[in-house]
Amino acid sequence: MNHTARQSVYKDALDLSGTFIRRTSMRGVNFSGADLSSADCSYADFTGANFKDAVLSKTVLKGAILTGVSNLTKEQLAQAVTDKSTVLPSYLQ
Amino acid sequence: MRAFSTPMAASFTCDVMYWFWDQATSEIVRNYLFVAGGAFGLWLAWLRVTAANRQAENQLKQTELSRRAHVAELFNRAVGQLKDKKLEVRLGAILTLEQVCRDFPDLSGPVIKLLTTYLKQNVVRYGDKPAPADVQAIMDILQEFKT
Repeated sequence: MNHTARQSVYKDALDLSGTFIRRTSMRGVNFSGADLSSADCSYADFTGANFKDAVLSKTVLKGAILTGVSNLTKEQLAQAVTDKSTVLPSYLQ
Repeated sequence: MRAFSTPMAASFTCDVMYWFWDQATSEIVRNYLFVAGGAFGLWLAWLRVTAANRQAENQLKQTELSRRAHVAELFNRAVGQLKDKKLEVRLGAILTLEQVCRDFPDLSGPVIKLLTTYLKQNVVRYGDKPAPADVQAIMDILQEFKT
């Protein structure tokens, strides 16, 4: 779904810990400081999302699309559950 | 003062002098009256503007109160509908909240907080099927308002 870009007025970090959000589209979402621990995000589309200081402890990212994401670090990825089908951003391949 | 040749001439001269004096005095008085009238008019205008401003402020307060009451009603109704068993009712509630975010961007924070809490409290494991419409609708709100 295409959305008109709006300036975010919601500054608090998202808390999606423990959620089941497989195969959803979260393109361009700002996950700065967000808690995604233990969330099942398999096959979710995170294209262009911002993961600055996001907590990815035990986050399932199998088959997730992480193309073009920003501020995602190796340390964050190491805490998450990934597999071969996880599409990593070019700087982490 | 020079002596007049006849009393008639003196009287005429006095008349002329009084006439000039009257003219000058009346002009000064008239000018003062103009100034006083202008000042009075300005004061009246200021009173009127102040009253109009007060009325406009009251109107704005009233509008804000109505808006808050309306949004609170929408919010409460949506919260109730989020618990509904029917997907279409839940989806309708989420779409209503999305519209609230669009109409009142300052309220997108509480809406996002409500919807993420809903996701956390109502975990539905739908396996490898596509995400249910309500879950994706919440993600659509995040895509639009949390960028």
